[in-house]
Order: sequence, then C-alpha cells, then structure tokens
Amino acid sequence: MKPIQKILIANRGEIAVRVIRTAKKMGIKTVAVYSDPDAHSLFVQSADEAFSLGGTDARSSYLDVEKVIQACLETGADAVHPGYGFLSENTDFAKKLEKHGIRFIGPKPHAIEAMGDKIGSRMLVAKSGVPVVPGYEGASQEMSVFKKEAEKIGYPIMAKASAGGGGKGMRRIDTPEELEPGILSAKREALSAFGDDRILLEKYIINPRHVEFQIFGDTKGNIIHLHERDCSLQRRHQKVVEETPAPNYNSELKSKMSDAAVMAAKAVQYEGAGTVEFILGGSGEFYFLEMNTRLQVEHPVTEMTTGLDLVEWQIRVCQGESLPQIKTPPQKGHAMEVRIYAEDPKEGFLPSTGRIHHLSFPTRDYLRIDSGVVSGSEITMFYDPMIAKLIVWGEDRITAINRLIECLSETIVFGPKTNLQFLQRLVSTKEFAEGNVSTHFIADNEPELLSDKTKEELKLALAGAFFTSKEPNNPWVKETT
Amino acid sequence: MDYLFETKNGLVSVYVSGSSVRVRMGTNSNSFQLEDLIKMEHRSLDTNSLQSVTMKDGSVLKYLKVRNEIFFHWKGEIWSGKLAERSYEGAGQTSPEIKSPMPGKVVQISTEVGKEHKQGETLLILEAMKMENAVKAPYPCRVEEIRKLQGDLVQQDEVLIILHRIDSEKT
Repeated sequence: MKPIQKILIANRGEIAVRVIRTAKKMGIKTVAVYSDPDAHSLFVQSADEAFSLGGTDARSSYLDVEKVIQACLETGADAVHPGYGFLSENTDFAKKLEKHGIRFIGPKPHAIEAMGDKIGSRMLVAKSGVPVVPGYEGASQEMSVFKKEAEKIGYPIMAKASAGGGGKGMRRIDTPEELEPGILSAKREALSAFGDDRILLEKYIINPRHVEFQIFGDTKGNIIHLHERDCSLQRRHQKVVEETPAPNYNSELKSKMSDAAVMAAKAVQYEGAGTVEFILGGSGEFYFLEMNTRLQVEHPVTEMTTGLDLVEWQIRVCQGESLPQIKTPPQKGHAMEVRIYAEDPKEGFLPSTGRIHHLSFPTRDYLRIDSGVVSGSEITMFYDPMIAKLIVWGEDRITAINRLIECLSETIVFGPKTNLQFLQRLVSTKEFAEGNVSTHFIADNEPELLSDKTKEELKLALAGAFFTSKEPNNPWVKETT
Repeated sequence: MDYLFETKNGLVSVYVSGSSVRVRMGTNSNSFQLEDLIKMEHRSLDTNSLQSVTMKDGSVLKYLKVRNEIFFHWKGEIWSGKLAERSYEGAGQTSPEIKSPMPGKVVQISTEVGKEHKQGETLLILEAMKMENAVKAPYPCRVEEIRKLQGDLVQQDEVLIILHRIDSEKT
C-alpha cells in the first residue's frame, strides 16, 4: 500500500494540533478544516493547509459529512484522521471516504458499527466469553420472573426503567424482601416519567471503578493491549482524571482483564487504536461496558508511560504496516492526566465562555500540555469548552500526584472561569492518594471539592488595592482586547 | 478610592485609602492593612508578562487588569474582581453608601458618626447649581462613617456617608 501523503484532520482544538504534530514528524502533509469561529485557531495555523468548512456550530461544520469529504477532494488529501468525537465513530463517513479511495485512520466500518451499538456489542463480546454486567431485560414483567432472575444475578441489584434516563425509575434493591416493593415503586415512577412502566434488572456494583484497556490491532490480525487506564474520577459520566497504571491493581486481575479486552477486540477483527472499557467492582469482579473505536482523549498517559506515539501507530497501521511491536511493551513510571475546562464549578459546572486574557503553564520535563488555545483565544459556546489537557509523569504514583498538584497550582487562566482549583482539590484528597475512589467520589464530595482557601473579603480587598495602585501610571499593563 | 465590585452576592464596596482597605459586603465590614499582606511589588516592564507581587508569607501573587476587571492568581487560586456599572439609585436605595447625586459642595453636615436617623431625615446638604439639596436617610439607620467635611467639593457618585441599616422591629 502506498504511504499516506496528506492527512486531513476532521477535527478541531487540541486533538487536531496533536495529530498535526505527529504527521509533521513523519513527513506527512496536513490539512486543517475549520468552522467560522475557529478561523484563527492554533490548529488552523499549525497545519500546512487550511480549508474553510463555513458554519458556526458543529452540525453545520465538523459534523457535515459532505463538506468534509468535499474538503478532502479539493485539497487532495489521501487520508483522514477523525480525532475523537465528531465523525470519529460515524460509519457512513468512513464508508463514503472508502468509496472515494480516501483512507480513514481508524477501524473498518463493520467494527465501528458493531461496537457502536451498546446492547448489541455486549451480546457480541459475551459470545466470546467477555464478562458483561449480569441483568435481565426480558419481555415478561411477572414478579415471579423478576424474583427468579434477581436470584440468578445476585443481590444487590438495580431495577431500572427500560425507557429510563436521568435517574428516574431507578431503585437499588439489596435483599429479596425489598424486591417486590422496589420494583412496584420503580414501575410507578417510570410510568409517570416515561409513560412506560417496563423494568429491567441489572447487577448493582458497589464502589465501581472505571478501568479501560488501550487496544491496538493491525491488518495482519495482530491485536495487543497497551496497558490499562483508570478513569474512575468522573462527573456525570465525564472523565475528570485519568491515570496509568491503575492504583491498587494486582497483576492477576490485570492479566484477566487485558485478556478479556483483547478478546473483545478480536470479536470484531479490530484494526487500529481502540479502547475497551470495563466497570470494576470492589471485590475484583469486572464487566465489559463498551468499546470506543477511536483514539481516546486520555491516550497521552499511555504514551507517557510506554514512550510510544499512538497517532504514529494509527497512521502506520492504516498504511498497512504491521504493529511496530507485537508484544505489549513494558510501562515505566506513572502518568496522570486532567482535563482543564472553561467551566464554573460553583455554578453547576456550566461552561464559561469568553476571551482568554492570559494562559500560561509551568514548564517541566515531566509535564506535557496538549492544548488548542493560547492567550487571546476565545472560548465559544459552539464546542466543547476544553482549554487543555495537563499530563504529568512520575517515577511512582505519589510523585506523579505531587507533580500534578504543583503544576495545576502554577497554571494560570485569566478570563473564563475554569475547573483548575477544583482539580487541585480533587487530586489532593487523601482518598485519591490512597487510590481509593469510585465513580461516585466527586458527586459524594462536591461541597468540599468546591471550597476556597482565600476568603472572599480578602480577594476583594486585593482587587481594590491593585485596581488603585497603578491607575494613573501603568503604561505596561497590556490591554488584551 | 472607592470601588464597587459585582459579586455573586450582590455589590460589594471596597474603599482604599493609603495602605488600608475596607471591604463592605452587605452589613459586614472588614478592614485590611496592605503592609500586613504585601512585602514587595515587582514592576514589570514586559508587556506580555503579568504583574507580580511578593506577599508577606513569601508567596507570589500575580495579576492582570483588563478594562474594568482585574484577575488574580495566588497560591493556586484564581479569582477576578469586576467593577460594577455605576448605579444611580436615589430614593428607595438599600445600599449602605450614600453617594453624591451630582457634583457639588458639601455646605452642611447635619449628623455625626453613631447618630441614628429615621427614614427621610436630612443627613447633609449639598450645594449644586446655586441650589441647596438635602441628602436624606433612605431608611432607618445609624451613621457609620462620614467621608466628607463641610466645604468639600465632591464629584458625582462619590461616597459621602456610610450608613448602618437599623431593622424597624428593633427600634
């Protein structure tokens, strides 16, 4: 297969910048596509060529399959890197590119399709022997059937509205005695919330952790894992902190889970980068959640501990090369990533938009910053308000934590509100240091994680003091309008 | 200098006089002495870098002023103070500051610190455009602070007097 000459990055922000970096290193030309609000963004400037998609919101730009394909044809790109989000798991897009003879840097459409279906993918991997969360989703709503199924699943269980969402119609049931009243009550709530009282049962996992495996496959049928990532610190199912290796994670469990992850990938003859996500219970039981058929936001922690460039691997595999290594390489040290968002933690984490008057990070050889914005950039309401990913490496976990705290405290974002202080509090907790957090940790500890050290009165006193101090003679303060 | 900052809990007045700063939030008042906090200011001529200040405890505080807003980074925390739009509230006002409704001259001060007033009683008289204007108590109050002397010239919106509201059931 002919090597790739020119990659179009069908994405924006930090991931576009990151893909361009590797392509340049490999001597491959790059094309950025952009919407109107992104016209002056860092990723547009970083690419060799830039193509305007027009439009403002994602739907009229980055999600518009026809526009992106048109951009490929006009710029002569022979491959597309989709990044994450947007069109990265869109089979229609992948198929259309194939028809035009343009390579999609990602798995084959059939694999995307099979893994894109949450229920279908669980059934598929279960056939290969990968454990999935035990449950009952049958047609019969007879109490006797529920009783029998609940025994099979084992308590505690969760009764959920089939039509559900948002926590409505959900009941945790710990004992057989609670089953009937619990189901009846969930049914009543489901009926009034969704007009549908069907209930399904699922095993309830106490203190669940989120542990995922980086998977890589090539066109020759080799599939390996590149270790795990623990992403248990989440807020409303959004990952907040990611790390590798997972804390308190013995090698026996790791070997069982990595085997299952590779098995899941083999079930769809997976090619390229993918991630198999698991939920891990307190007593070491684990279940397949889903497989993401793309590069993950948190891939840098894997790179920091293995020394690999996963984007380079993606490109090589896409060119038909074998995996550069067909055995899992060893990991060195510990890496952690946090996602810095323009959001106001004190206002329910609402996105905070506006101009970034000043953005600066500390410089350390163990620190990696993946960012798509600079001082003067604008955070708009059109896209994800991520400012940067901050990734640190340490010889061991506690060193990595201390470095992370230090780097976060030295990071400055003036303009939109950010989660910087919240992240510092979070990674400074005793529970996190002990590796003792579940996916519920943030929700259970929000008030403490949102507290300030500096008193409001002092903040305002300083604001007044420094507004005054140089008022008449401050030619050196730059107006960043 | 007098500043009015917008905060989540409403407007907060900050009065800076020399090295002392008084912050009023609602009915609470806090005073700070800047020399207790700040060790040294570094004047940077580099337009791209932030202004920085070494604090008494050795920590470094950095700040940036952008129009009517000032941003701070100190000990890993970031905050900003945004100056409020000028408010021209007259009768029915609830804030503790009594401001000059117009440029003029204070011709008479009819009260003293600690004195209590009913709503509508005259606090001072301001002369503007050759006319005398009585500035009256907008609510039952006790005088906390008088910022001006008889004969002072004042600009519009300068704080003249600071009041402490007295709840009617207590009087």
